[in-house]
Amino acid sequence: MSNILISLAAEFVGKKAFSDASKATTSLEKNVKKLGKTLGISLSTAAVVAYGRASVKAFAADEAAAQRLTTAVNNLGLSFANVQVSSFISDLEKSASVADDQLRPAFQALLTTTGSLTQSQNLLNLAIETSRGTGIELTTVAKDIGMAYVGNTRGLRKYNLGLTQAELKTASFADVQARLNAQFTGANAAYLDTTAGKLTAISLASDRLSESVGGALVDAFVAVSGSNGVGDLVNKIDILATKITSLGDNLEVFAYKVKVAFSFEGFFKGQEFIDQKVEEYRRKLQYQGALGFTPGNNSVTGYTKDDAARKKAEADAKKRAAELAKLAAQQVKAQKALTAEQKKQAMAKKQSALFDLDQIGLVAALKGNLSQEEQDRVKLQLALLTDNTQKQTDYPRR
Amino acid sequence: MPTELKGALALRKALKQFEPDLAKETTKQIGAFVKPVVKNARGFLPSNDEAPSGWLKRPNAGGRWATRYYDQAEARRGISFKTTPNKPNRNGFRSLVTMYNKGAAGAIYETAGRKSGITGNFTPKLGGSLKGKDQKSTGRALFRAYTEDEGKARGNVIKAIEAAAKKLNSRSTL
Repeated sequence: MSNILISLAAEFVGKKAFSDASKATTSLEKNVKKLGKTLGISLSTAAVVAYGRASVKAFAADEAAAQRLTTAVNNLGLSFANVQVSSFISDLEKSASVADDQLRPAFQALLTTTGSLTQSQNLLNLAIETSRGTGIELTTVAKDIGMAYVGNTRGLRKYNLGLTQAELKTASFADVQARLNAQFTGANAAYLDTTAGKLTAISLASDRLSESVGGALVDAFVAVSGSNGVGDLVNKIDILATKITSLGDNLEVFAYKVKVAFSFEGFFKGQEFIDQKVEEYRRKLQYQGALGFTPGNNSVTGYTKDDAARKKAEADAKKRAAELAKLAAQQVKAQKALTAEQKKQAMAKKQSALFDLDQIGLVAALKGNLSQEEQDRVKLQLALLTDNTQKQTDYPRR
Repeated sequence: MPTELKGALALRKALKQFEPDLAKETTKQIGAFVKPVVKNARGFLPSNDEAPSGWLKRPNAGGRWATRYYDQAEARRGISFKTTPNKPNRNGFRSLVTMYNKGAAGAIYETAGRKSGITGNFTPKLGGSLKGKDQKSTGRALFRAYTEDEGKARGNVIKAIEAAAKKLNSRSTL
């Protein structure tokens, strides 16, 4: 009997799918070995198996790292932005040639502090430039910038921004940002222009390839690609990785298309019918999560709740930033007012002492020939006049 | 098609562990949203007088036909809902809130004719009307009630879960 049930809300746990994938990988490995033995090319089979294992390991490590960031994003109540964050990280990895395992913790630190996606993205770019310009670890730079965002500028001393300690203490975040921008903009581009930068770009591109399909064939790609320079090679590697990934996604749809095309109905009803069926199947796979379906933001459901949530999060972050700036400005104003008041008081006291005849008389008396007891009495009187509480208590004790 | 709620299972565990009163309140709220749909679904089941006479319980029936009969009371009991998570289905999804029609006769009444049409000697005599979005989610009782509800129950359930998450977060914030 079929199950008659309606599920109102569900969560993808993926256990079954992953165990199936694991079984399929094991089975494929066994079959490949068997095929190799049959054909007498066991050496190349071993290479294929090793390649498969390496790619699976790289994928697993990358997935774990991404999961940590996803959890952090979810905990901040920004779960709708997971797709946006991951695509930003992967784009930035390519454009700035910084490994995603450095970008993720840095971005996490900034996002936790600012609570704004846009602001975190801008600050991460600034952190990359600063990191390249100073040679300091990206994660450290991101943490320091994050601290400066909330008013703690102590960590910025090591970047030698040309500000005194007092200036650094009272500087607003906008000032700090402007200083960093002025000092380090273009540092990353300059680094990528060097041989070391180019080598980093190639290394990262091959890492990405390893994560998608395994890194064993990188050397072969360099030899056979016929690329014009490093940039061309990086692009070719990326295109290859994308194509292989999308091939895996579309394989299931292709198999279904073949099945429909050779069915009785497909044969007689024609291309339109086949296209319609394939489209229905594709949507079904999306609903099941097999084709990267994102319920929060996709063309199938037209669900656009994310946009409103993103705008709200941005507005909240902006409000918080404005509050912080206002607070910092108030602190500076209060500090200035206090200093001015203290100066004024000191000046008034000095001036009053100049024209205080009693005080003048007592000071003159002290210069005369007085016994110890008389000196103590005059000093006590002077202390009482000048409100020196310490001495007021000291002299009577003698 | 259910809406995917990421982290809902973890939320449920957290609620049960740290805020049992909130967990109970949420379950109660979800029940209040789902119950009207279930009640409507039960109302679509035909009475014993309206059902085909040959399908009713016969006291002397033996063997395999002893249990194959329609009884309105039994079919009504078969339609219900649960707010505990299911086992994952073959696609890896765990359902958090489920309405079901698990009685044999109820399931037959629900689904008869949805694939082959209202033809033959049995299906036309069942009456009722098949309602639903596509073949797999079409039926005379539960699916009909769900279709006529127009997603209100589902929307409210999701809102209740989201509200519980917000409350939990606000309570755990210092």
